[in-house]
This record gives sequence, C-alpha cells and structure tokens, in this order.
Amino acid sequence: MVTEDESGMDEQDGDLYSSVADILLVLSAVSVGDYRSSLASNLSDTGPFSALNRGINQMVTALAETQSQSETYQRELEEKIATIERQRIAIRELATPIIEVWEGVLCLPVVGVLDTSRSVEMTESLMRGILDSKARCVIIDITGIEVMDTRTADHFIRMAKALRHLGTFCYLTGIRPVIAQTIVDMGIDMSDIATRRNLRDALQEYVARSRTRVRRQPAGGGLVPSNGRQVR
Amino acid sequence: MSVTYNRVLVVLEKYVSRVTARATLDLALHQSGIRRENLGDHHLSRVLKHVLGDVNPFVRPADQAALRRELSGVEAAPQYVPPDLVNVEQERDISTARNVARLMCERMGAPSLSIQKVATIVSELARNIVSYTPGGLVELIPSSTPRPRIVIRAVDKGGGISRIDDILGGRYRSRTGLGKGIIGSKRLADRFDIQTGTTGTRIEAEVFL
Repeated sequence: MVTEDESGMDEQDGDLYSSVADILLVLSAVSVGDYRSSLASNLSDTGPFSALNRGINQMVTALAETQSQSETYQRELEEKIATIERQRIAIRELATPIIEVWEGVLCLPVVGVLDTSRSVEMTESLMRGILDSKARCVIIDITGIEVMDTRTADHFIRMAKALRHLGTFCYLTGIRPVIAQTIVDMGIDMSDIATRRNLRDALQEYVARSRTRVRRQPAGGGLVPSNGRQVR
Repeated sequence: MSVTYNRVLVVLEKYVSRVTARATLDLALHQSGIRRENLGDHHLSRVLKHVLGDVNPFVRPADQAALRRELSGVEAAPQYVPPDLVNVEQERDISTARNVARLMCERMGAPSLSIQKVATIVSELARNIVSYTPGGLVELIPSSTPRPRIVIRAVDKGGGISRIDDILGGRYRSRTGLGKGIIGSKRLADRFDIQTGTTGTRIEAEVFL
C-alpha cells in the first residue's frame, strides 16, 4: 500500500523491517531445534521476500525431517546396542555351560579359546555350580580346546586343587593326541589332575568308585580302589 | 582342507573329470594311510605313486606322460607362502597371532603336530608380551630351505627378563610363571634364541614342519 511519499517510504521500510524480523524469529527458533514456525508466503506474490520466505520454509521443513530421521536412527542404534549387550551376556553364559551328567557329577565342556576373563568366569561358574548342586565330582572336557599352553595348563591344575579343597574330585578328559604330545614335550606336569580319555570313561569310573564306597561303608573313611573295580 | 590336497586335485582335474579326480585321490590316500586333512607336502612322494596307478586307467594314453610330469612338478615345487606379522598388545591379539600362524602352517602343508607346536609357541610368546610388556609384535617367517620350517620371532620393548639364564637352566621358577612359557617354548622348538635386556626382548624360535 503506497501512500504519500514520506509515509509511503516509512511504510515500505516498516514492511521491510517486519519481514526481516519474521525471518530472524524463525531462524532463531530453528537454532534451538524448534521447526514448527514458518514464514508467510503468498504464492502469487512475486516480491523478493516472498521468494526468500518460501526458500527458508523449504529449508526448515528439510531440516525438520533430517532431525527426526536422525532421532529415529539414534533410537534404533540404542536398541541394537542393548540387544548386542544382552546377546553378549547370553553367549558368555552359554560359553561356560555346566551340565549335571549324573547325581553329584558335573561336566564342564571347554570350547575354543580360554582367555583371562573366560577362565575367571569358568572358575566362578564352576564353584557356584558345585555349591548349588553339592557335586562330588567334576569332569572338565577339553576336546574342543584350541591350544594348551602353560598358562592354560596352570589354570586347570589350580582349579583341580581348589576343587580338592572343596572335597570335589576332578577329571580332565578329551585331551587330543597332538595336545598330549605338546604337553609332554613342554614338560608340563599334569599329574595333579586325573586324566581320562573321554567323558564316558571318567563317568563310568567315578560311578563305580562311588558304588564301592557306599557298599563298603568304611568306618574311618577308607580308601576307594583307584581302578574302580567293585570289591566284594 | 589340506592345501596339498587341492594342489594335486587341480592337476588331476585337467586330465579327468572332477568326480574321478577326487575318487582316485581319496583312494590313493586311503592306500597310503593318510587322512585328507592331514595331507602335507612331505607325504607327496608316497601318495603320488598310488595316485598315478589309480588314475591312469581313466587318463587317455596320449596324456599319461604329461600327467606324470605335472605331478612330479607338484612334488618338486613347494608353494610360496609369504611371511606375516602381528602386532601384539591386548589379549585378543594372542588369538590373532595364533590363527595367522595356523593358517600359514596349513598353507605350507605342515603335519598337525607341527601346527600344534607352532600355535603353542606363538601363544606362549604372545601371551608373555601381553602380560609383561607394553606391547610388541610376532613375526612369522616361513621357509622351505634347507627344509620346510617356520621361524617365530617375538619382539617387545619391555623391561627384559631378569635372571634369564637361571630360568633357561631350570634353576629358577619365577613367581609370575613367566619362565614356564619360555622353557616350554624352548623345548617344543627345534631352535631357540633369546636376547633380553632393559630395552626389550627378542625371541626367535624355529619349528621344522
């Protein structure tokens, strides 16, 4: 609306200032993450501010979409991380399964690599398992183990010793021929642990021993024959 | 699957069908008393005699001489396996080093006991680097002269192993168990050198395959 010269200029100036002020308001809202406001844009109006307003509105809409997408991705990422964490815990528990294969006999199959954290977890799980089940015998099967080095051997020897303190007998089974060979070549002394070829042999022997023990009813804790044969 | 097995198979398949190649090779292995996954380059002279006899009925007479020549070629030329290096700093690097060593041994057609020795030595030396030093590396250098072998070189910038002579002589048991791995590795290896000082340690162990 154009009126007389001076007031016309004032009014155009006024429109100019108010258009710029509107833009500044919208941009400052966007800068704090508020994408809701938009600028007046009359499509039929071909003035410079109309085009600018339309352009700014489009940018704000695009920014809003990007922001909401990014929030969705963030949420999905957090869910995935939580799932991975749950799975990691599940894998860890699966990785040290302790199976009661007979009354009072626990079996612990060891598979793959035994690093420090796994060996600590294994010992803890085993001790818990023994206390829970009052097991008298543990059979550790290492058929699936990748390598037997001095640290690993040391770990098993210490575990057997700790188990003995709990009054639990420990067998080590499933030693593969190449592993047996390297143990001997390295000079590792495994005589503190009873080793048997496989789980079945160890279990058979233990069951036979415990039957003998029950039958003989030793008065002062007599010795059980180590060959496992029944004594009449 | 043995690398040696595949090398022979590739040659046979040029002259007979794949099914025939596998069947005759498996038969030859059975006759030699060798399991497929254990087949190594050092078995070849024994196995190839059987292979020739078993596969010849299926090979065109005109081709038989060429097949015999190619199979001798397989026996004579060991595969080139490049050396490798693993940086060792954390516990998971021990597994990496072991796997690299195992793969290298398999590619060289090594028998399973040698593979186990190499893997065990790598495990011991890498573990020592992780446990007692800020970090180091394990180098694996294969060679076929004068005989198939792998050199394991473990280098670190730790503080050195004190009383190493006593440890190697079996006179001193370190409280941390450090000596056991070194002694064990020395006994497994066919050659064992150790240089250690305050600026670091360098151990070289060699296993014949």
